[in-house]
Amino acid sequence: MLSTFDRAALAVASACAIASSFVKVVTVDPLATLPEKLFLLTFGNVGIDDDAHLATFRTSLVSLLPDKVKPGAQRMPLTRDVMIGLVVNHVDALIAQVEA
Amino acid sequence: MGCDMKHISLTLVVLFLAASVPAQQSGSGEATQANPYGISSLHFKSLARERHILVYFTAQTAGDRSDINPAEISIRFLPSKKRIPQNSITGPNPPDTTASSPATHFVGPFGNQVLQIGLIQDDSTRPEPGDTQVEIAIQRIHFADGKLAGPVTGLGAIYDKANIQELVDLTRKALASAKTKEEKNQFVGLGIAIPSPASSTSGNTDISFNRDFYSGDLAETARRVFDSGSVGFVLKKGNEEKSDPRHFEAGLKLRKVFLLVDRRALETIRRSIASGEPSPTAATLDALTHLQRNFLRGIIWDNGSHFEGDVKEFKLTNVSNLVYDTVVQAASVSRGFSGQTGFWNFRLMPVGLELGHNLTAEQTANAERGSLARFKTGAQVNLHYQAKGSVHRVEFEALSVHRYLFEKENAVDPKTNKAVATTAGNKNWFEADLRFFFGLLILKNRPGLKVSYQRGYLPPTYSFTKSFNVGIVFESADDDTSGR
Repeated sequence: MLSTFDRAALAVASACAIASSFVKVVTVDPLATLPEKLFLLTFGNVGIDDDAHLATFRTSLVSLLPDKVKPGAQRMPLTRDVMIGLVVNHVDALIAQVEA
Repeated sequence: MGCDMKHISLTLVVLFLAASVPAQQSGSGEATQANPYGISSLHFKSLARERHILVYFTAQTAGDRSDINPAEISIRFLPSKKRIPQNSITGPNPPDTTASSPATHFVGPFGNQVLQIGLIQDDSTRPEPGDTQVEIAIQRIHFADGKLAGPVTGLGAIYDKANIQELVDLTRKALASAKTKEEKNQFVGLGIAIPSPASSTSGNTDISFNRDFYSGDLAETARRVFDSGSVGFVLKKGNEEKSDPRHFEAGLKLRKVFLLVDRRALETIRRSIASGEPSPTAATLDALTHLQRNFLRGIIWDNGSHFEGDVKEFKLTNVSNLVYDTVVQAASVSRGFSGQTGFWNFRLMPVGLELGHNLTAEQTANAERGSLARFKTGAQVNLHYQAKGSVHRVEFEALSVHRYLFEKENAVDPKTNKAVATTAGNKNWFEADLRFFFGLLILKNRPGLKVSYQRGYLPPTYSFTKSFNVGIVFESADDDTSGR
């Protein structure tokens, strides 16, 4: 089964792929992406570089998450200069909180 | 450039210096060690249906599976010193059922810098009452640069239902503390306005400040109406008649985003992410591929109100209006080019309305003091290019907005430069920024060249603006966006 962390990683990578064709999900188990080190990059690095594209990313991510996690994901502070991996860590914590 | 440059003025724009945060934090928001080849932080999650440990290394690893053989990993809880038996640690491919345990694996998109250790859900992996920490020792780790380190050890917190909120708060804090472009950028800017006036200093000021808030912080009803909002202001001001848009606006904006994607494909991915699903199948990947087909992937609807004022001689009240503003925008997906070393995207604003009323008009008794109604449409293009393996970078942004004024509004008389005239009809605004950043480092800052062009009319006084600015900007070379 996927852990909360695996699920957070898949959700964030998928939302990036919806917001930017610069990002591809190559395999889902194990998760592999293009760019290969997606979570070490910032949103601005992958074309999610203004408020419109960040809003598309956020709405995509919220759509992919379980209902109880949505409010937390909706209020994440996001800028184009945030490292994407930080969002994975936070979404993991939000899912874990619901499933604790 | 052929322009009569009588004066070159220096405009020092001191913005934000990145504040140093004394205690290092990892991406997960936890305390770290300074060892360049070791464990940065780790934590153990004990949830209702799964237990796992996340280990964050200080550097990218080679992702060598032999390093994470359960026989190479030693785990114990503290203070009880209870050890987890090695046969309770899962391998990389545990049985694929909803009841099975998560796998032990490096996380590729993190550059294998993160390791998940999956644990079997039984009494052997349950912390004793009073245990608060977990200690890990891994016999050896191959790092990506060829360094072999070992044993690597680390100590981290145990999170369960009682304290999981702490992890939520830590990771949110790490997100909020990541440095923004404004913090990194433009330590000092030097601008040359062309043409420059015969006397006095010249230069343009473009300041935009926004504070966002989110419907997730509010009641459920609010979430249906909007996703996010912002309060802030925009100031566009020049020191010379033909380069002075005299534009200030401050207000509130609420935003709702509608995704233009196949709902069934979205639901397929959502099911893979939802709890209780076994590992995702090829259908998930197919759904993702399907979602990536559309060029336009979101419709954004903004609603808000703002105050707009004529910025002149430290006043805003020569002409001021209160305006309700509603705009629909369609955002394209970002497309890569040149072997994915660059990308471009655009957004269309097919329709927008500005409705409002004049508040003040102090420079003439014959001013328009009634209602105002404007139609607007526009587009924005962004382009970003950075050659592979290079720190040289080019960024281009262009924005065009066309307004049609249904009612007469107050405007600047070009002869007197006072807001004593009126205008109506078509009003265009265009602005473009081109920035080049170079690899050269000067006092830990990366110099760049910025070229800006503005032309047209902005409310509330529609002062004709035509300016071309060349500037040098210094971007902080501190590229840390990891929340440290």
